[in-house]
Amino acid sequence: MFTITSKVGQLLHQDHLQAIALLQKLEEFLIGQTSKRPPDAKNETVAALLKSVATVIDDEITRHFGFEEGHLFPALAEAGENGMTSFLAHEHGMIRPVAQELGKLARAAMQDGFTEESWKQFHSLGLEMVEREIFHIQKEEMGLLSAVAALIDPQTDAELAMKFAESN
Amino acid sequence: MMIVDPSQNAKGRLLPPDIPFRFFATALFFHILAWVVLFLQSKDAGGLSWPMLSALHLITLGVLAMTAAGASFQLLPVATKRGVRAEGLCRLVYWLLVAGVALFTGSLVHELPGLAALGGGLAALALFGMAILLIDNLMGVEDMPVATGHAWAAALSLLTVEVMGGILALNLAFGFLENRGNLVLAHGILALFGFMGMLAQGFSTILLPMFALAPAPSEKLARIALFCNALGLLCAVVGALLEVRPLLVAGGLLGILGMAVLGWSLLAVYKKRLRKRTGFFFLPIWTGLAMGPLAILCGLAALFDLFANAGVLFLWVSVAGWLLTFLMGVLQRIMPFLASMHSVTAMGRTPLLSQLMAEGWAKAHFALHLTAVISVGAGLVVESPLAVRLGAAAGLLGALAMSAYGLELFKRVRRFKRDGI
Repeated sequence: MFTITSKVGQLLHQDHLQAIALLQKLEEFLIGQTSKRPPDAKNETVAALLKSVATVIDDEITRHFGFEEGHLFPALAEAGENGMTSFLAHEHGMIRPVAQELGKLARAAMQDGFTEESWKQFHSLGLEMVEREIFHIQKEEMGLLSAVAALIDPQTDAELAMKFAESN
Repeated sequence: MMIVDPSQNAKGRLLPPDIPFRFFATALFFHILAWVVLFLQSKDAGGLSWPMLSALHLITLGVLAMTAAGASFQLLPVATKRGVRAEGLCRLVYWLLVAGVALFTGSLVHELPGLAALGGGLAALALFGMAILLIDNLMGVEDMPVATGHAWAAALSLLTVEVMGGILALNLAFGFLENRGNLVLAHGILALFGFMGMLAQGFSTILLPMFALAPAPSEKLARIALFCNALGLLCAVVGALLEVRPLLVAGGLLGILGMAVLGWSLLAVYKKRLRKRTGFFFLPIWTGLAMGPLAILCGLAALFDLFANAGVLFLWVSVAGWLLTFLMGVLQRIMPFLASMHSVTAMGRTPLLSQLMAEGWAKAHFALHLTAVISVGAGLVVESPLAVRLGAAAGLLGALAMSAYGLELFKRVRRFKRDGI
């Protein structure tokens, strides 16, 4: 990773940190629980994790992707960076349905608990989500944030940071 | 969903997959061949006979330089944010290097000096092309001074290694050097610690934090490491050429200091990593990095004649212990990384890394490789052909396991694409 100098880069990095923290918590939980033992969704810890999955993984990631695709990638494209942003947008397209499905399953479990079938699905999707999103964040931290620092001028950087803050 | 065509990325910084993977696959093949030659020629334990030189160059040129070329053509543009401008030259470098390594090492085994000189010349030409591509990519890059500083030192070392290697190759055929020992030592130091060592250390400042999702290492410490490494290299090479032992010693001590500072700063950021579950590949990477200073200690022991065959041990630990171990760890990660980015199905999906990585083979490779490094090293010191042969057998099995890892990756990518999930 690089030393992050841009304002919008720092905000995106903060989002990444929050997402990674939750994803790792989810991964630990899923691995510990195994796909064969549905947990008690009313358990306080499990309920808190499900709530985080529903809000951070689904809502927050969708918002983060939306900002990048709607504002940041066009600004980078204007500065001449197309290949990387189209690749990252493509990855968003793969992650988004997994995040949404996972969020849907988490919300359903918060209401009615897990069945064996829904837990198996949640377990498999959760691990896929962890791997895809962390791999995606690795690429953004390495490529995207350094491209922002190199290609985006300070005024555009400030405007983008403002838009990102407003989207919260 | 928008489907990304890999050829579109080729216009950016991601090369077509055939470029890095042809280097990696060939490196895995030469890796096997190196251990086969060492196994068959282990009667020469303790000396640097022509067949032993063949095994050595199968590793240095066939595995290390081959992997470094494929990895740097793909990774340096990502780091510098500048695309490779001559993909054709990358392919030419490959063919020249393959032909050069095959001819050079084959001729050494059969003790054919004329053909060995020709093979050495072809390999030198290939590495010259590589140096041009590296320098072209580095020109005008101002950010990331530590990684690019190491890469500059590697590229300049490579050019000098070219000249020295070319003279040594010609000397094989024409025998015009009265005393080639100084040049051989300088060539070895520059090739291992200048070209390969600087690339390995420079890339580790980018790759390790990326793989572990950790912050960048302290720029101040990394600059100190770069300064020590570069000055140490200069001292050691001049010391070797002029036969000035204090300069060689100073070079060795500075090299140890540089590696220790860089290793410490990498370890410090690794401890702060965000990704707690890092893969198995980190074990060979750390083991390799730890063997760098150990190799230099063996070199210093050789300078003071502390034990028999310390010079051969220095060479062995540098090549097989430090660089080969480190690079195999890096390969275990970047091959699936790149394969995943190039494996888009008709439905627009890419595979998960865990779907591509056959960690069992990677673990088998590491255990066998470490056994080989220790056993061959001990055999060289005590001049035991049996220990060298047993070590080479373990190394060969390890190389086969590493190739199985690569083959399994290839099969999994094909299966993933075929099933079109």
